[in-house]
Amino acid sequence: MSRHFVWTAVVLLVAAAPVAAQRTPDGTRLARAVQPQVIRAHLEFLADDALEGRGPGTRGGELAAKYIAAQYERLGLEPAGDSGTYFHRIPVITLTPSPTLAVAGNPLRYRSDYVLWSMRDDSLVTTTGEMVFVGYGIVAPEYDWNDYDGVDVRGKIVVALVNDPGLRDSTLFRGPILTYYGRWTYKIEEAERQGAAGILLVHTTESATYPWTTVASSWTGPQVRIERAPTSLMVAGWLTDTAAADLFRRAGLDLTALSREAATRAFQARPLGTSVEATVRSDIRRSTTHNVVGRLPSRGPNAAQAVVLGAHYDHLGIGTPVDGDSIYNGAMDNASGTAALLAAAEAFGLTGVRPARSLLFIAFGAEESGLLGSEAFVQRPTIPRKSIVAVLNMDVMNLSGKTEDISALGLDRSSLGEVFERAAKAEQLRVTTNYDALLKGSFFRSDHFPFARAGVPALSLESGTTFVNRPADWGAEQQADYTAHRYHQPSDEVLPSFDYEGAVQELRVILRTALAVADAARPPAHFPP
Amino acid sequence: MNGLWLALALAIAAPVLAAQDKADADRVTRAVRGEAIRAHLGFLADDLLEGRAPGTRGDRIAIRYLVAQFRRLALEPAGDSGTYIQRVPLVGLRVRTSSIEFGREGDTLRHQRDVLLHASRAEPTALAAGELVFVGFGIVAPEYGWDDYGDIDVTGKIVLTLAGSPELLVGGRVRPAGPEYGSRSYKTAEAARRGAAGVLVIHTGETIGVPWDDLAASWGREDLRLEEPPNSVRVSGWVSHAAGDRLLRRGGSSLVEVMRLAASRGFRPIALRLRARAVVRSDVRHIETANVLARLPGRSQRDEAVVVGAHFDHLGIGPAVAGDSIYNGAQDNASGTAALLAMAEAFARSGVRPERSIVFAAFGAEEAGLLGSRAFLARSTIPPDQIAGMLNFDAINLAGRTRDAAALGLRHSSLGAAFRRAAAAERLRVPEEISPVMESFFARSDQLAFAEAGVPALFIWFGTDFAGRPPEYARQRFDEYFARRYHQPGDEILPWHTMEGAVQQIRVAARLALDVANASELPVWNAESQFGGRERPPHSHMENR
Repeated sequence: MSRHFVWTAVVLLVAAAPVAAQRTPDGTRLARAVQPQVIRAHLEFLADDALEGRGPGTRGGELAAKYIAAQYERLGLEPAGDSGTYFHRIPVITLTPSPTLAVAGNPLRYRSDYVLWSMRDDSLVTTTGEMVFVGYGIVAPEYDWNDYDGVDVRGKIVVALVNDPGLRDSTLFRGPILTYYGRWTYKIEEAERQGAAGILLVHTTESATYPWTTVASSWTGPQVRIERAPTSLMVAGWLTDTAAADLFRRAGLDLTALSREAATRAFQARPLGTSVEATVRSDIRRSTTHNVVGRLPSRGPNAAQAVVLGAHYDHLGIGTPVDGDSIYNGAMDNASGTAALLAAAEAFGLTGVRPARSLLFIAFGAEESGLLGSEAFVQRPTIPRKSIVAVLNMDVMNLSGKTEDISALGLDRSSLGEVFERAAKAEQLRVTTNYDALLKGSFFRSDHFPFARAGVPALSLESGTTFVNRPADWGAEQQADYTAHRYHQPSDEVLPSFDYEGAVQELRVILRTALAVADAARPPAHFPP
Repeated sequence: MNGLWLALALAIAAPVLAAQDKADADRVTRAVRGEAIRAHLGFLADDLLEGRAPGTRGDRIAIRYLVAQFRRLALEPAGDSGTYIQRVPLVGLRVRTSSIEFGREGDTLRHQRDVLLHASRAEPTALAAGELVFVGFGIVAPEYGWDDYGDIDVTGKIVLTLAGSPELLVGGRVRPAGPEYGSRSYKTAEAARRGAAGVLVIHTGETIGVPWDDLAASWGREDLRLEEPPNSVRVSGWVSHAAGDRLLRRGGSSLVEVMRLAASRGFRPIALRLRARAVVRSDVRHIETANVLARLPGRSQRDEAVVVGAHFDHLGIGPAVAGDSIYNGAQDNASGTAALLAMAEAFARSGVRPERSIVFAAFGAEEAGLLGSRAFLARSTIPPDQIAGMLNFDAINLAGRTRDAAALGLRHSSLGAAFRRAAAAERLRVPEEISPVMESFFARSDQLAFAEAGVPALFIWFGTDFAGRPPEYARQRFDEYFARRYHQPGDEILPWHTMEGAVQQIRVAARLALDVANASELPVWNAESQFGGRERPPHSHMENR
């Protein structure tokens, strides 16, 4: 061995270390650290029958939360829930309503004409007020729209249509794409802001996108929500199309004509000239469930800011048996997203990558009950809300295999869309738009949404639809099969056919996106709606 | 010439290999993380796991947890048919009553007062009916030239024996090696080999050490056993001193007489010319638990393995103490299970691949009598003669850093020297002497099952020289644990628990496991060890080391 050779070797060795460190960018290191068996391991645990479907406040739900916390702790994430723990309390209140509703002294029939529930956390609420038809019940300056213009609804009961005017006139709002102004939750929030005492939503299958039977089954029986401070709003409910039309007729008004008018700029809110007496007795049960929150601290200058990675871990628990199986395992929905969340934390742990902003890992509770965990976090965040620069949500991962494309909800709503596109490109994936999801308003239906509503740029991951080595419509068939046969059923369980490579692709894009956002000089910008 | 080349090659290779081994060990030990131990411990000892009793919901959750962790680490499944799980079916028997009728008049020995019997098979009603034969101590020990059976045929009969062994009776020395001849389980197994239908051991008070009333109090508990192929014995158990005397007198002898006869070398079995019917009624339950098994595959000797074990079961839900009915078993043995997982993770993450495999084994049903480890040895995919050695974690040091390291069983095998090397590499002293009381714990966890199957084994134990603590600190902790927590609901996570000592223990165990997995020679029993019965091959087939 010559001297020269030895020196060369030494020089190479010394030089190689920093070069090697520079050669592989953090995003690539993170992406490479995603391992399918990690996702599979967590998914199989969370979706096991032993976890009894992870219902909020149940033993299975608590076990899932403890499991997630144990994984955070193992990975060295800092507790970022309440008082030095990983657990962030969600104060859940369950009200089972027994309502009465009478218009001008004539009682309506519960379930067949209307449903009604209390907006107060009280066992008895009573209100009497004049009815006012407020069209779509929307106040949207950016669309130059105000259904409450020139009318004072304080102490009154507003009657509103669901959906938005774009349903009837494609030049208004976003046309057929449902905006948040079209959601029933928005109608209630706006009525509350206007000081109304109650709100009745007029149901049609077209505007609601689901039939009355769904309304009658979903808004009767136990209503689960987070505890709320009292406001002017006492009651909320739905009227059938027929019952509403009848009411309008007796007031000398034509609901069909008024509904048409409501989708025009000429619309003016209209008092009905009759009053309503509403009473809701509620059986009240309080319980607690938790978000599980861990922080990967940054040592950079923007360490106080955070990018949220989220996935809900709850599912429907134990319910009505189907083919002898009463455990709603929620393997896809959303053991898969939770497993991906933990695998994301693991990738940071394995690589030691520390971005310039902190990362907040949140496993949300009580999503299936109406985004309660994310709502509770936005209402009472454990870090200042303004320090949350972005939210990336994972709700149902692709377990059908590798794709050529990928998607997300909210791509057009903030500059996160571009970051996501670049991340996808780095993984050789096309970004496609899920038009069906836009029409259905899917953006409003998972845990990123309460953040988005509070102004935080947010994305929710969606599966690609073009599968490698599969016919063009195969992805759509898989999706349809899931929706028809497994979605929210006991058969959403671990299947031998699960292929984790698609989820690995998805998580790699999410990690690259998270890192790019966390390392960017400026936080992402929320586009005006 | 060849010899010279070989010597030269070895001279060059040995330091290289040694340096490589050291580098590997350093990589593994660096990857041992306290957070991981704490996290696993916290989950497994949570009230939601309800004390992890075999066959319960908490047990199943613990099993799923272990599977998830092994899978996450991409370790190879080493259980049944390509899974991480070795199923361990168990039978639970709870005696409701037992009795013996004897003689023509149908005299009766009553449950609790006179007899404490149990069924040998999973039968709600177990019956042994036949002639009584007194067989002395019921011992056949060729190494002592002792044979209580001679050529008598006891097929289908009920044997009656004295408790204990003759050495003890005559005040002789405690036997140094071989089976536990004095135990009732040995006597029952010996009688079964000879086709007996029943085995009755006379509770000759002073030789047992456990008063009759204590035995009687324990008899109502459920007895868990492995599902095993049945042998000839249907009923076995204790008869009281007085009841034994009644049986012997009816058969024409007496307890005093047979005790004298049995203690002498010339003893011959005595057919009592008395028929008896022993009946046991029990509640029978079939349950299942599991061992959870994962393999870090060896590079060259994949089939040979070092087993690192810890039992994950505990006592479940039981009588409340101070309002708490969950027997969490945080120390015993969520802590050891957490250590096992943390060690598995350190190996998996380090990328180090030893020559032999390392099998990480989480055993079920230890508290019920080492059932999981016995099932593992009886029918796992890794036969005992391919197990190089076994290291067991049962209760881990949660009380802080020590300056020393300890293991039980050091004197039994060459694992002792290997342990001392591993401790030295971690700059930990190994005390020369361990008190006999401590050493007796070797017989109290899963390593015993391995030792009995001929596999050299060590029980990874606590150091006692705690950094920054007075010398009596270890004693205090130990006494406090056994007085207030051991097998009580108070064995739970405590605010002062710290993982530093546990990390030290795992690091030593990891070095030891790696040493054994890479050594050219398999560990051997020391000549004077009571477990030294098994012949080991002089070296393994590792030709590339």
